[in-house]
Amino acid sequence: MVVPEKQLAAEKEQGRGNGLPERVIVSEKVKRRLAEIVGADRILTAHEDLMVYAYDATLPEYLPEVVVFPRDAAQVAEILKLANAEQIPVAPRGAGTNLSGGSLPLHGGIVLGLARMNRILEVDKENLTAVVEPGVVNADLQAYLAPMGLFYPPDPASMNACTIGGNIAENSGGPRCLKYGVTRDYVLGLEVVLPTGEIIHTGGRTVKNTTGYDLTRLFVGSEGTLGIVTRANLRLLPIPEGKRTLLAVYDDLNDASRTVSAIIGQGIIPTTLELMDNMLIGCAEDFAHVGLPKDAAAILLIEVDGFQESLDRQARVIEQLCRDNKAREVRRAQTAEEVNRLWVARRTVIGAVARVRPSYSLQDVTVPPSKLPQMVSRVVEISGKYDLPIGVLAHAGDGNLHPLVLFDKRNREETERVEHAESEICEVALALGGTLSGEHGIGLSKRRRLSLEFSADEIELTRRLRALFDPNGILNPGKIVGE
Amino acid sequence: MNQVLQDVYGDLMKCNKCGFCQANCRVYKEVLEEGLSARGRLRLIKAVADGELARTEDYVQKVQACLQCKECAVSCPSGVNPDRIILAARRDLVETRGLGILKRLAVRGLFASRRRLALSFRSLRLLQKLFLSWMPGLAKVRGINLRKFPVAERPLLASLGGPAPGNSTPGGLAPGGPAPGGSTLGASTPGGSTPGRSERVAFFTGCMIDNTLPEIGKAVVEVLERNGRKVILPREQQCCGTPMYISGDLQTARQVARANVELFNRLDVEAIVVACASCGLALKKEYREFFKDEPAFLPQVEAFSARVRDISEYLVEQALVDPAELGRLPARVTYHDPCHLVRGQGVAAQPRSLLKAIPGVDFVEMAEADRCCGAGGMFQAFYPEIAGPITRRKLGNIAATQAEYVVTGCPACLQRIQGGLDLARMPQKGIHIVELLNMAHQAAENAGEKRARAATGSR
Repeated sequence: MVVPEKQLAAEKEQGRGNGLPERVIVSEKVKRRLAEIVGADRILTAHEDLMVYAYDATLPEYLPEVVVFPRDAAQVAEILKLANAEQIPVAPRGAGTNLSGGSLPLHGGIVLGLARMNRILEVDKENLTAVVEPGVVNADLQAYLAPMGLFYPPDPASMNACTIGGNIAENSGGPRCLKYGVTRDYVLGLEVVLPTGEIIHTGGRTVKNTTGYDLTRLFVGSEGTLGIVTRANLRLLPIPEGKRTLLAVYDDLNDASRTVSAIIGQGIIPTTLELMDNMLIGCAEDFAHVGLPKDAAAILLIEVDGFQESLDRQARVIEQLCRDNKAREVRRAQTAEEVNRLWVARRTVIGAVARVRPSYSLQDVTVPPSKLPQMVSRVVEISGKYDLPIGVLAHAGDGNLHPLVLFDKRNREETERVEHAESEICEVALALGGTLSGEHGIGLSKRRRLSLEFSADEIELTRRLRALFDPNGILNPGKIVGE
Repeated sequence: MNQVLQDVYGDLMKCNKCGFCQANCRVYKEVLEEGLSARGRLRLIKAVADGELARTEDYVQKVQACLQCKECAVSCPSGVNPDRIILAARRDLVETRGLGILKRLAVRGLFASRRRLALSFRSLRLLQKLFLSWMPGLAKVRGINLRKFPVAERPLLASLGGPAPGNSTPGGLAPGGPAPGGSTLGASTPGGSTPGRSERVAFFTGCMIDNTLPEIGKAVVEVLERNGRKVILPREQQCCGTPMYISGDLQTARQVARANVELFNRLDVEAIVVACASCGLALKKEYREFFKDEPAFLPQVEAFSARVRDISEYLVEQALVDPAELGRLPARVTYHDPCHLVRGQGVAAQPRSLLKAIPGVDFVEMAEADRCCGAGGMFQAFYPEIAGPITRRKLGNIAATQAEYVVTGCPACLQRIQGGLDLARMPQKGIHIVELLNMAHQAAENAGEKRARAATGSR
């Protein structure tokens, strides 16, 4: 997620894209017009307010000129029309927990704050669907659904803060996406404001829908470049009757990753299959105090769910596979409280690494699960080669790795080594048939590596597609494809 | 960089802007503005520390509009303590810009002087009697129910007379101490052996109990005495220092804290009992912060803080409350965790176990019991538009339990919750846990349960 200073300087020299100036100034007249559209209490222009919309969860910061909080699709449309007429870039933002720089206002301009469009408009229990606005916080939706016996499967680690709109823009995943699939599998239809201001509707409320191009899926994961989602029809599932949570402890990291391939290879799909190495176990334990074995080389956090009758059988099969692959211990969480604390430990571990070194950089490479053991051992090699601590964190069951490179951004030489180490990690993942990003998106921080995965033709098609939606290039310019 | 900010700079650097604190920052959840989330405030404080941002009025507002509920600190994976960084920023503001006029009036003019504070509450009482009672339009000022704001007829400490019946004798100061402080409120005490020195406890009342809700203080004394403790109430005790500390005025906070430490350290008591969550947090933990630059005084502070106990904590730790001695209180009851008890002191299980020990009490846990009630000291007066919805959410959670009593362990929360209940015309009654315990004791007496008394007597 870090963009080394050298790289930033290089990007500045190239300009930030779309022929836009580095920083687009918004005139007082336009600000007044924006205030008319959204109301005076829904616009921020003070320097102190702009400073806190200059960042997301990545390191770089770009100061916007104005922040507006529209109330509905009509206001979003007015704002986008104005932005088109005035050639002002617009960066949409939910909770700003983005891990690829997707919500950064790269060219200044307008930050479109969607956090206040946060109503849950409808839950249809009969048809297992919900209609929500983009600013609804993922965990707030879950809390609303739980008493009805329903849930929305995508569960990014930041679910307590991140918004559904952001999840849709990034096509977010999460641990239980191994069994249930990712955001794209749960979005049935969208209300979208196009960059030119038209309000359109895609898809519908049914799981099956083959009418025309699948525009819904085109918007999901478009990282705020093709349109602004103002309403989403989501697919829900009933909460499974029960679950079992297992913790398998290993003295060798490779045994843990081999277990993962073995489980998937046997055709068993747990709900979650998470891997953490020794360093991250230590960080997680220091924050969460759940009794994780700090001396272990790796742990797997495995959950199965379903009908009560099936749970123990599923758990037994998995326990046996863990032992066959040299787990030194496999234990089952006994209480709901214990399960909850294990997940707090997992969800917070990325933040908790601040305890080890001041800066971290996070990759999101994903490989076919059978290649996981190779990928993990290559990451360990790369860590040694560049003399950098790299924590191995993975939604292992679906091959999605989050290698966490720890360093100190004030150390230039070390920061350069980070850049090289990460490039190599990405190259290895691609060579193993993987992809650059599983769930965080390309955004700003990975766009310079896009050409490792996409051919010139593919990048050109992406550009043309984007220009079709956004002829003036005002919506989140500079993201995904650089110029 | 100002030294105060220098001291927290390492912590500031630990914030990697993950944004997880947005889930827990009560102020952010109301306004949904990044600048009023812990992450946003920390970014601005860092900018001031780095000299990138002047201490502008906008900056001041963002630093001030924090409840100090400490939820961000609990949820931060990186172990940053945003609450403490915000306090450091407030201190930096006092040192570089001075204290705002309103806060100066409040913390230096009133809280720093028991006499002036008592006088101002007497004026409020007079105002209530003369005007507010028949001018409903004036009753609610900035979301605070002024008409019904509790004010003591006389402050608790001022109402202490000379020698009085009961086994808690007046004075109670060690020989050579200053003028004797008072004790007892004339509670009838179960007979029994004369308590030894290990059974003497001091009671730190705090300004809220002293001036607004003295009945809590009376209940503290009575419950302790009923359970064989002799209670010392030094009349010279000062404000705990929280209002000053929270406003960034460390100098005045240290003045009152020093006086308290010296006063209570002269007492020959096994514990210093507190019934206010914020006072307890200050006395127990924050005094060490106050004096961290004064190593010579720290041992005295340590000796003082080590003896401080919240009333629930003390009663449970000493196993003082025997359910057999409590009468029946057939009522449905729920409990609100004060921020400065649950997160400040880790006291949450004790009050619940006390409640469950009372015969007849039907304890129902409310949703989000440990969420801030919206008081936040002076926050409620300065930011009523933010505090109001937070309180209403709490009231909704209370109503959902269908409890008759909402019990808590802090007079400030109690005032806020009761005020909210009254303004919303809700029938529930707020009560301090020690008052409820005392009611249970009284119920035992009223029912003539001599067996319970005999049990105490034979101890």
